[in-house]
Amino acid sequence: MSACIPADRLVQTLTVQVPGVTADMLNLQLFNVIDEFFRKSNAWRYEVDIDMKEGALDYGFAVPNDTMVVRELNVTHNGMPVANTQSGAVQSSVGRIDSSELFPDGDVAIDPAVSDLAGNNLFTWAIYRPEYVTLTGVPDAEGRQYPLKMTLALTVKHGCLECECGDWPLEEWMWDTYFQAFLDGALWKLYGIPAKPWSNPTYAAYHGKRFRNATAFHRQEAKRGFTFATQTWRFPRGGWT
Amino acid sequence: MALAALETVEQYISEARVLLQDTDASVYRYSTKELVDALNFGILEIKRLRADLLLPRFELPWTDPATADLSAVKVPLDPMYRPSLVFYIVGRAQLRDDESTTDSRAAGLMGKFTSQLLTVT
Repeated sequence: MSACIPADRLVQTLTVQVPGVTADMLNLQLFNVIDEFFRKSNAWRYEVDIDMKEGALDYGFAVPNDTMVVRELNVTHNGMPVANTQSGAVQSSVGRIDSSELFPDGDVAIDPAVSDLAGNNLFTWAIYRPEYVTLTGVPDAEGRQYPLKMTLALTVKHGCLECECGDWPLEEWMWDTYFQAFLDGALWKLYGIPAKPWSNPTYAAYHGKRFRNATAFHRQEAKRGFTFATQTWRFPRGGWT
Repeated sequence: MALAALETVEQYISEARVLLQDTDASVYRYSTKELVDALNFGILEIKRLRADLLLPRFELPWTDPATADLSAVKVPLDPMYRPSLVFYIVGRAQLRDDESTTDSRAAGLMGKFTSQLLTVT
C-alpha cells in the first residue's frame, strides 16, 4: 500500500495506536481485516451484464483488477429475478393444472413441450467455479435481447498483497465509509497477537466487538441500498383483488 | 552514528565496536568474524521472537564473514529495531570470557534486546 493515499489516515492512526508495529505487519493485518469485512458484509457490490448466446450455457464474466468474487447476490433478466439452480424446481404461480390432465393415481399427463422450461424462457443459474455462470437453458431470440444482470459481492484479491502493485483496488469512498470498521478490525487483530509489544487481550476483545457490530451494520446498510431505513409500506401480498 | 544509517552489516559492526570500546583496527579484541556471527545469531533470535519483522517472506539473511562484502550486505530490519540488534551483538560478544567485561553487562544487553523486541518499555 505504498502509494495508497486514501489509506494514509488509517495507517497513521494504527501506527500511533499500535507502538512498535511495522509497515509490513500493518499491511498484512489490514488486508486480512478488509478481506474479512467484505466477505462477511457483502458491502462491495458490483454488477455485470452477460449477453447470452444461443446454445451456450457457460459464460465467463470479468471483475475489476485485483478483486475476486465472494458470492453472487442476485441475477435478473429483463427485470425479473432468475432463480438459482440449487433453489429447487422452478415453479410458476400463474395458471392451474387442468383436472382433465390428472389421473386418479396422482400421475399427470402434461405435454412435455408445454413443460419444457427452456422453451418458455424459464431457466436457472449456478456458479460451479469462480467467475463463470452456468445456465440450465437459454431464452429464445427475443429473450436474448436482454442481458443477464448479475450482482456480485467482491473482496480484495490475495495476489495484491504479495506484489508491489501499489494501491489496493478499493474505491476511495470505501476508505472513508468503512474507516471505523477497518480501524477496529485491524486493532482487534493486532492487539490479539500474542508476545508482541502491543499485545492487549482486553483491547482486542473491545475492538473485536466493535468490528463485528460494524460489519453487521454495513451488511444491512448495503442490503438496503445505503438508505436510512427500509420502506414503511408493503405491496399487498398475493396481488390486488 | 545516526540510527538510520544502520543498514549494512559493516555499519552494525562499527556501531557494536563503539559500545565494546574496540575501535582500534590495529588491535581488535573482537574479530570481525565473531561480530558478524553474533549478528547472524541475532537474526535467528529475531525470527523466533518477532517473525513479523521478517515479513513478507521470512527470509533469514545469513552473512558469511569470510566471503561477503560487509559494506554492501544490507540487514533487512525496520529502523525501530536496529539498535536492539546492536545490543544483541555487543551482549553476545561480551558473553565470551573476557577480563575487560562482566557477565552482568552481557546479560543486561541480551535482556535489553529481548525486552525491546517484546515490550514497549
